[in-house]
Amino acid sequence: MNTLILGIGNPILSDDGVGIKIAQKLEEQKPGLDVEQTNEAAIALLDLITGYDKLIIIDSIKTKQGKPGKLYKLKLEDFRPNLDFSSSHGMDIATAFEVGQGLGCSMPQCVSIYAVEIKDNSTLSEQCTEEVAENIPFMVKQIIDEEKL
Amino acid sequence: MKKITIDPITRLEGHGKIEIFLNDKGNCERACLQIPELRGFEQFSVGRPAEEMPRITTMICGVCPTAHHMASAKALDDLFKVEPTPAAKKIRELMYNAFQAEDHILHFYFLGGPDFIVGPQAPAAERNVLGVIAKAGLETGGKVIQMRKGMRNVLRIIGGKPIMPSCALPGGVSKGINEEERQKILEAGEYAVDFCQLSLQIFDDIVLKNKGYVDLITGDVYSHKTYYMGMIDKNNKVNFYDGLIRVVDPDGKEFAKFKAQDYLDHISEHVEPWTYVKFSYLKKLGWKGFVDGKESGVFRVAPLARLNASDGMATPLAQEAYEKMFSVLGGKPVHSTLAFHWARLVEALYASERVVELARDPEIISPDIVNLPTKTPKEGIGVVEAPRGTLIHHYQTDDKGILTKVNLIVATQNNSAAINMSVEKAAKSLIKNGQVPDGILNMIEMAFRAYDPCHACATHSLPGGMPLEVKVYDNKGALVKKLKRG
Repeated sequence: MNTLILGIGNPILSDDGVGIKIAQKLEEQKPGLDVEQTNEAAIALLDLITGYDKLIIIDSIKTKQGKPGKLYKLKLEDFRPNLDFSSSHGMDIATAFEVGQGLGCSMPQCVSIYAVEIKDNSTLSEQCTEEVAENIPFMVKQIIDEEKL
Repeated sequence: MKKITIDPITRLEGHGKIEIFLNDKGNCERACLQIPELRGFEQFSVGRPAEEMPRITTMICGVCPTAHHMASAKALDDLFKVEPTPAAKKIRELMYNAFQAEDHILHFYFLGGPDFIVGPQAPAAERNVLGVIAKAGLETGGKVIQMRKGMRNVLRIIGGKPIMPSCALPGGVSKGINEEERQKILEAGEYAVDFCQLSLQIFDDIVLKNKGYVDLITGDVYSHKTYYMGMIDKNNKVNFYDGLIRVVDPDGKEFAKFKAQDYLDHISEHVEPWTYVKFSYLKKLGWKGFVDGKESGVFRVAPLARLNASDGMATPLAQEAYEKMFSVLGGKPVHSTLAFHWARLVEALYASERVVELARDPEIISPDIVNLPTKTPKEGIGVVEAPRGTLIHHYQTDDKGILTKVNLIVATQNNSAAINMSVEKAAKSLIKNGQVPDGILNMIEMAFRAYDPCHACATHSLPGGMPLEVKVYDNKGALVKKLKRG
């Protein structure tokens, strides 16, 4: 299956970059994989993801009682598309799919979204917080096992 | 793995907030748009080697990485007093135009299009990119993706990757272009030229033939008589990558023309207590408040401003489109904010034509792509025209090239006073006697969407949307209406 791994985040905003760090590790450990890293809004990603059968997204998330460093597996259906956006900086991944399908693009049929619970996404730093950083190797392994990469 | 029901904390706080204050008659007295920016970046950079900046600054913004990369590279050329080789300059300019073209097209179809092609009065559920495609045809939708794919492949060829590119070095670029790559770039450029012409035709058929839309574009609600700033080449034609900065007054007369290095003599920043966004203004005129006119230092940047500030476009098809725009809209300068969308298409066509011109230039495949810096660094300033306006990077270093001071003037900051004025004017025309119509959100958004202001997409956590909230307060400060989207 033609698979794209997409690490999303900002590598200079502490834990916000965890998706990118995990994608980089996957690329190192599994050199044959197609891996992209991005800090773009999903609106701009359509041309990257069209044509793939499978898409694995790795991003960060903050939930109310979440424990930093925890990995969640989500589905596209867990997100509500919202076509009503106001700037180039908007548009989420669910909306990107809705738009892609509406445009008749060949969108991936199979989508896994991994979200890492984070602690800090507002401090300018190229390092993740300790709680998140120490879990990266385990999360990488978890994704490899789960997705049979 | 355990399935959870997600309950992410929204990013509303600090993101896209419009506050409207009513007077005792219930009319709009004041409106403020709050947009966040990445704070502390300058401090984050101090102490790092200056050469890291082209890589790091791409991470400031997920929409304009190539603009920051290029402004940074030019600041490094100036810092190390090294001139890039002719081939390196052409490669950089080619890359930059590919970026500009794909970014403009993205904005037009996904953001601006719904306001015009679907129409401002259309039901909200249809006023989106899918509505645009329904009206412009599914085939056009596929072409939007194809055009952007081609242009972003140009960024990949030159920059290593389409996002967060890393190719520019002080004095040149890290990798040249081979013949096979040149062919691919040429094909993508030719496709983009055709597609931009088609887009202008769609604009013509759907927007210009509809009197209601033209009246809206030219109407007073969305108009401001301001100064305009943009970069120009030696013939006073629009240039995104290099040249002098030119400012014209509200009558279109040249007010200033200066080198990037002299920007501090021309641009100052005003600070307001209610926001940490700074407001750029023309230093020689001074800050007179959020007002337009010849006495006010407020100026505008980005597509319409660049077209107003120039004498034309340097490529033939774009020049035709430029002439048509000014002829239909009653001559230069055009003050209608909604004409930014039209100007954006003219610029996308220019950028695509320029990609083709540069791809056809035999020197583009020259292996002579870098001049090594030999001077001791001290201070460097670089400027480019980002899709959203004039972008300036200013670095100071010690004699080892370690950054001691960094100042960035970003495009949205240059437009921020005008954006607030546009939002306020729209609110004033729509809110009367305390009546706040529900449609106000879109009408106000149309005012600032034309500029496509940067909402500081600094964080990217899920779910990833960018919410906007409008709050209306009465003259006693009580919240009377709240509208939210996103």
